[in-house]
Amino acid sequence: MVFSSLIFLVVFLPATLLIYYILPDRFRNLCLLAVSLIFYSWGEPIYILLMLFSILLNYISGILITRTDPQSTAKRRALLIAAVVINVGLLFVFKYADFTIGTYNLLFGKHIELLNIALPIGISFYTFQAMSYVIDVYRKEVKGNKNIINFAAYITMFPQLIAGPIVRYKTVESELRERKCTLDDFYQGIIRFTVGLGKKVLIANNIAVIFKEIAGTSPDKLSTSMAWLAVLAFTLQIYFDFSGYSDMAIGMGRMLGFHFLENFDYPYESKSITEFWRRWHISLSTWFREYVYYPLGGNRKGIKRQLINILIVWTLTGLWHGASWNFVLWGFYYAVILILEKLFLKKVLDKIPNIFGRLYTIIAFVIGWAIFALDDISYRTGFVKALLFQAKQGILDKHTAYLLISFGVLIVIAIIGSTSIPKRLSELLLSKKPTLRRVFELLFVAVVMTVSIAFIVSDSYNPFLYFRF
Amino acid sequence: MEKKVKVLTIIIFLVILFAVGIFTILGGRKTYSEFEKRKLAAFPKVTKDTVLKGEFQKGLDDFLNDHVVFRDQCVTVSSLANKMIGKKEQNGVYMCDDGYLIEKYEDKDFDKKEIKENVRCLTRFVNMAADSIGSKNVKIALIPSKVNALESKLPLYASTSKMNEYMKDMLKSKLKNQEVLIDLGDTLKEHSDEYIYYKTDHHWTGLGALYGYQALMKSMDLEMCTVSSKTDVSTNFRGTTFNKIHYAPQKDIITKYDVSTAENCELEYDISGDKELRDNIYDESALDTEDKYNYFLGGNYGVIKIHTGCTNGKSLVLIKDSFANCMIPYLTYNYENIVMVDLRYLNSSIFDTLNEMEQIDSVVVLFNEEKFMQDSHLWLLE
Repeated sequence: MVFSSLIFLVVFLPATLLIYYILPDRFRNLCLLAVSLIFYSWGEPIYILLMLFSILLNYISGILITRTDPQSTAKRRALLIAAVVINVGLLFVFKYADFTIGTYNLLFGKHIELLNIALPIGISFYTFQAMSYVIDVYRKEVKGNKNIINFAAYITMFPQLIAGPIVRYKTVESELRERKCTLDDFYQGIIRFTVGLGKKVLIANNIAVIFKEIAGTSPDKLSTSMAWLAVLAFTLQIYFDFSGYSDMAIGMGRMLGFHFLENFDYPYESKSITEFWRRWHISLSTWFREYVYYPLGGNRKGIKRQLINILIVWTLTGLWHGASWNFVLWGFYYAVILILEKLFLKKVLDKIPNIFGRLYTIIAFVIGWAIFALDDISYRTGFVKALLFQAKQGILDKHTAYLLISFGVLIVIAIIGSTSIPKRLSELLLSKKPTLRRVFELLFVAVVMTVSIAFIVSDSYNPFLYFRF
Repeated sequence: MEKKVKVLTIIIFLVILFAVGIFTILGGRKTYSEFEKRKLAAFPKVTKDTVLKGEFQKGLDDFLNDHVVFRDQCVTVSSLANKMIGKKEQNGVYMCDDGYLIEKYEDKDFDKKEIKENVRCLTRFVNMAADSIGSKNVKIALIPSKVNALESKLPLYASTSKMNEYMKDMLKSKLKNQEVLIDLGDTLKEHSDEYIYYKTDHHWTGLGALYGYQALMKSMDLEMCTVSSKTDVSTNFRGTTFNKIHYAPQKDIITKYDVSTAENCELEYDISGDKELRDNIYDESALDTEDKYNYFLGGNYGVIKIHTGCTNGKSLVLIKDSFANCMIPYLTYNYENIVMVDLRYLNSSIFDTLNEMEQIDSVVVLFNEEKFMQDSHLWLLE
């Protein structure tokens, strides 16, 4: 199920809230687990079994590691390695097997048949969450969870199950045992959820039309401006889509009494790529920092080793986004930029006026998104040529002008909306008038919820007019 | 105070979430959508198999989407919101400035193979007809779609497909005599600032059809009817293009152009093999339905034979789609007998119908260009 579907908004969510708050505290995790499994069954129901296996595996690993004598490091380490290998192994089989076979075939001219395994929804997210638990148990940062219902509720928790953020176990450990949701929590959750729904349905979905149309255009109809418009649209779409999902997750978490960490912090305002990656998909970069970069030695083993570590971590980050070489390239691209910044660029950027840093960062991540988006483009070579000023239609063309006129207002709204300007403006105007602020928020919730639902319904409106005209 | 507003916001949020579901359950169940002209999804079957495969879940999504309360109003809200932020099109419809809703089509909506096949079938038939009754008496008149005829009304830089030009070039190359083809595009474009197409429907208006009729008569060297008066029979028509986006800044007017020979007609309909007699080419009852264009002849049928108020003994075979229906009043002036054939609803061979006729003075093929290119019934002319 996705958050931006009618069934989620008008059946699943109200029913969940109702049951959740009718039940006494001690049944709430069970309730959460049950509704999350229903939520998950909207994709590939059969993969529930895979998720249950993952839960069992990590639950048992956690208990075993906790029970092992803290002094016998070797045994604890063996248990940890076993758990990590199985977790990564599952992820590999279900996400990367065909990619590996395809690459092997390509390199060695072989024709091994692909397995055609459908990707289990959310596997990258829940596997990473589960690993954070086992590793933290090993590091003695948390205790193994003996209550399987609690643990299963943590792994399957529907707000973050299919699109993150990657909530580390230690963040919610105490709330899993005991939490209370105050009126203010619930209220803030609603505001946050509405912001996210609006970002996804009103902005991301509508701006997606531009990218979708241009991505399917044959090379002989592309112009350079059209190709770059597609990349700009994608840049805005992916931010609003992804951060919208995170907002909805954080909002629903709060409605249920959980406090997840932030996942986005206006990344497009960054003054360097190093900063960008501290503000974009924060939960993922934190995960890689905590569980890959630091264990590899981080920056503690000399600059040479640090650069290699950056390269490893970012190639893996790229690969995490999808089983395709363009994601690897995308990760590598960021690794190179981060290394350059580490070596000298960051020092230069710190000295010159902020505006240059921002411009440089914008150019860098827009090019990054161009690489990222290649996966979804029908005629890749033609598209790349168009980006590099080799388009059949030249630089400018009529259709791009039409799209700009038609979507101009939306693009401007999206650009402003991706910065902290709206937030700062509302604080400037409303921070001293709390009641007025609440009234604005009330109108915001009423309008955005209604219009978003209208947009979702209208998406399914599918007139069939010509059978009798 | 601040806390009260907060509580009110929570209440509003919950009411919105709960109300949609509750009203949908309480609301009546429709099985067919009048606006979308399609059957609505039925409630999915719950079995172990459908649940495990996810079919039940998918079915439930579709069911809810199709039956949700205020569904049509939601589409209106979405169209209005998009128009407000300057978007020029919605669901494949250009929202033009003076209230015109114009459906767009793109090259990819057509299959060149299909066009080629349709052209082949049509030209073979027409060439044959021209050989037997003379090429002056055989005409193919193609009516452009709104997006082509009213190109000047489209948003700035909006593109239009040129597939119709491709089709017409192919037609010309296959016709033995070029005079058979009349391109109504030029005629209609000259009048593009007049009310020749409905604003909310894909059809042309009575006025558009009158200009088309005049061009046709001119090419056949026939006298043109005179319109004695006109009456607006409906002023609140919202047609197929409105249905696509559920939004229309203006409603349409259906005008009846009075021609004396169009009164007192005798009509014989072939409805699924059964004969039905009617005595009026206008169907007043259609004005009370959503499909008000059906005012002309009550809609489309395989064969309609009309005995008109004209007494010159001449007969016309009209192979047509719905665009032709509103041209019939004018044609009654020139022919005592009109046999309308709509290939899409034909129950028997067209040649049976033709053989039954005592004489054939003219054969006219009257199609909308776009629909002709997509039609899958032209093989019936073989």
